[in-house]
Amino acid sequence: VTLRSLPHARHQLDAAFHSPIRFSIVAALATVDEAEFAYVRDSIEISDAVLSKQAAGLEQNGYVKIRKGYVGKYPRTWLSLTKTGRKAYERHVVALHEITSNSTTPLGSAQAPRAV
Amino acid sequence: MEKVESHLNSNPAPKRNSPTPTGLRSSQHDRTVFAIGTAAFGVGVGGLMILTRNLESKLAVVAVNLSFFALIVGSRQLVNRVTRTTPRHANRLSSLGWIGSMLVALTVALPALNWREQTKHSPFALQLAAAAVVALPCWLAAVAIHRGHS
Repeated sequence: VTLRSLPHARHQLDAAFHSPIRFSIVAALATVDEAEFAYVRDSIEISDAVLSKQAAGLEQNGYVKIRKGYVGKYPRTWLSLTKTGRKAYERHVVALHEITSNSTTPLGSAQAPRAV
Repeated sequence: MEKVESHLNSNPAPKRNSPTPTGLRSSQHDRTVFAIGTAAFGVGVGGLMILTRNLESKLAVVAVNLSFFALIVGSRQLVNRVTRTTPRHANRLSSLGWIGSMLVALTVALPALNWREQTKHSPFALQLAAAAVVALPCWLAAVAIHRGHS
């Protein structure tokens, strides 16, 4: 029988959300089904160019869906999380919670490694 | 000593057009708009049922149905124009509401009113009550959308 600790929760973190801006975009989109590009931009206080670039990156990962259309005669762009994106975000948040909850445990009183 | 005015200060930079400090979570306005739209649709279905029952001319029935369809499309456009987000599960709840209202209208309210009409005339109050029953699924969906329940 060998003793091995559980893999650290940081391994569950998604690299696509490491950037604070990307994380903010996805966190904002997680609370709605769909949001206008301008509303996301204003809410997380970034420029059009930055949001456009980051949203395109998230779309490439398959995490965000970008829809273009018209309201009246004005063009609009809507952003939404895909199912994959929502699941990835939830996993990421759970991992963050796990890391922060473990970090509140004083050193030396951490859980004993589990026997495998 | 002359005092030099400076535009620099220690105050933080103002936030750009930030509608709420917590971002998209508090899009209560959009929830309200979707809820009102869904509730109004329920009223529309109930009203349509009463109108089509009381109209004699087939042409008038067609006209009312077409007007109702135009009203749905128009209100959808209006909701899109007024809101900036689609609240979580709002579309699904709204669809469940109007499907429920249509089902109640076609399987409960209309057959019940027609059955009653065979023996005696239905007073307007009863038809109004039937319309309210028809609108109920939409109203429940509207409440759920407004509260933010999934």
